[in-house]
Amino acid sequence: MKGTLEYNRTMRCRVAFAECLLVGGLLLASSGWAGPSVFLSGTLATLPAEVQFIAIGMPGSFRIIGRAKQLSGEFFVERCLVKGKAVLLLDSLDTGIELRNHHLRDKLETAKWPTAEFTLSKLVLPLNCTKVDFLGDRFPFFGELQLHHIVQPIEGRTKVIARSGRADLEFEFLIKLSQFGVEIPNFMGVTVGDEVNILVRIQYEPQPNPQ
Amino acid sequence: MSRNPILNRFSILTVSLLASYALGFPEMVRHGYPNCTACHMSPDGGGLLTSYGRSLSEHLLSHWSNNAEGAFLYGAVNVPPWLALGGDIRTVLSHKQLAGSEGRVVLMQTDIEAGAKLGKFQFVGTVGRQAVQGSHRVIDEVLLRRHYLQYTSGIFSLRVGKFPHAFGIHMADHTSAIKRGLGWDQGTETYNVEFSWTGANLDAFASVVLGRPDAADLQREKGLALRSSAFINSNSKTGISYFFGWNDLGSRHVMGPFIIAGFAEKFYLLAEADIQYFQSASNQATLGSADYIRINYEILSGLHAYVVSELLCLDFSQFSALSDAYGLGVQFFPRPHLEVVLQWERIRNRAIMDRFGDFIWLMGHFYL
Repeated sequence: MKGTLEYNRTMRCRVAFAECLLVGGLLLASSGWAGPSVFLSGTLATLPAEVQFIAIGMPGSFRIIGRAKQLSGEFFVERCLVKGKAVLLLDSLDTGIELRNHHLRDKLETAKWPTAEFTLSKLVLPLNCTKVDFLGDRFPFFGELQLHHIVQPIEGRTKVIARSGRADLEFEFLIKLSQFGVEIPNFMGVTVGDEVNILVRIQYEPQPNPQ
Repeated sequence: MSRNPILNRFSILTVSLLASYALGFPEMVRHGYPNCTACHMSPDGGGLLTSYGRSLSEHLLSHWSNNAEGAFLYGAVNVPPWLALGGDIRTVLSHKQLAGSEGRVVLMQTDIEAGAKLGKFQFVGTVGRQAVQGSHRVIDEVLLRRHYLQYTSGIFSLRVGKFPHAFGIHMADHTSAIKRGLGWDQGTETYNVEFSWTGANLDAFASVVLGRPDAADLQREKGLALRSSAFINSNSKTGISYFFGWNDLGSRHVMGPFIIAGFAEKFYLLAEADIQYFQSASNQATLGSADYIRINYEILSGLHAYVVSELLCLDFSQFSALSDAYGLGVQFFPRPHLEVVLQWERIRNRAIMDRFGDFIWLMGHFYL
């Protein structure tokens, strides 16, 4: 009898231990044991980044696409609130045609003002952003763009993909060249539209703690 | 030869091998140019180049170039901004080995083209020569291949005159199954009234085809042509075309999708598949199709290699109506004003024989 009771107690302990392991495992998995959430808090190290602009040329409604990867900056996050700054070396913009790059540098007067600065003043993500895997589209952001020595407020949409401790953020916004004092490009009968769509793509992961 | 009587008439009357073509490069889509009007005066592309188009020929199309080398006559003549001038000389050396062996050298095109712009109106016209196969000999005659008046306001255009109506991919290879095979070879231009809308993401063309009232014996079709396409991913375009036409020989509906797609930076695809329903004047109906696929790779700037496959069968009920081809080609733009194309195809025309034969041609093109 005594032996049976002891056996039952032992078994209950084992089952309880197994249950603890199971529940603990599930909790760990759901809380992101695979890696820390990107959007908890801290400084975010910028990994490969890209800026792309799309302007429309007329006639023909054709797309002038410029890309650059020489982007540096730092972003900070505090419980789903993201702020930061990125600086682009304008001469690194490439439109795929050397003459067009030359015209672009002329119009932006990059010899005088070689950089553009994108300041993210406020991006508030929903509270579930602290999950390890977090996807979202069309989150509004507010900030400033300094281009051609003029600073203008900007606002746009953000696309977020956070997975396994890394995140991709894509900020999309429209600017008007005229608001930045940039002369509207005109070449061989082709005119570029005043409105330019800009995408800033940033990929990052939390920086290691300095201590 | 095709079983379709309309096409038989076309092939006899137009002598398509000797015809020329209006040059257009639909593959510019992959560089972000969904519409043709940045480089050409015609909304559907081909023909007279704009100043910007000439500049792109230097900076995007050619392997080597110097500044302003793409200008009309290399910039030797100063052309006022309201005027555009151009012209094409094109010659081809070909060898065909089918039932027999045949080689020829043909001066395909010698055209001069001018366009004048006055506000929102522009007039474009060509003068050239055409070699027409008569019953016993080739007759050389003066040809006004294209001439039209165009009104453009922003992305809208209205065009009236003689030009090829928009359908599918407007490509340079006019001998393909989707051009010559469907009876839309060069030399088959008709008088049309065309309305076009060329937006950044979508375009639409609607043409009332008036045939050739000035040359009724050519039996050019009258009818309606519609084409619309969407620009996707900044380097690709896909769309659909529809044509309904009739003449004394019968009527037909032609319809099909097409795609021009850039992928993996250096690769691009041109593909079109059309289906045709033809009803003869004696009420005999035939169903058929014309397909074209070309995959290209830009080896170096201005040097493109491609593989091509074509299939034409305008009457599914007759096995002998089938003709197909596959092959390889190289297209090279060494400098502005110059183009060289070498293409080798294995071709089979079941109306003639069951096995494949060879068709190789070398084309040289100089534009003013």
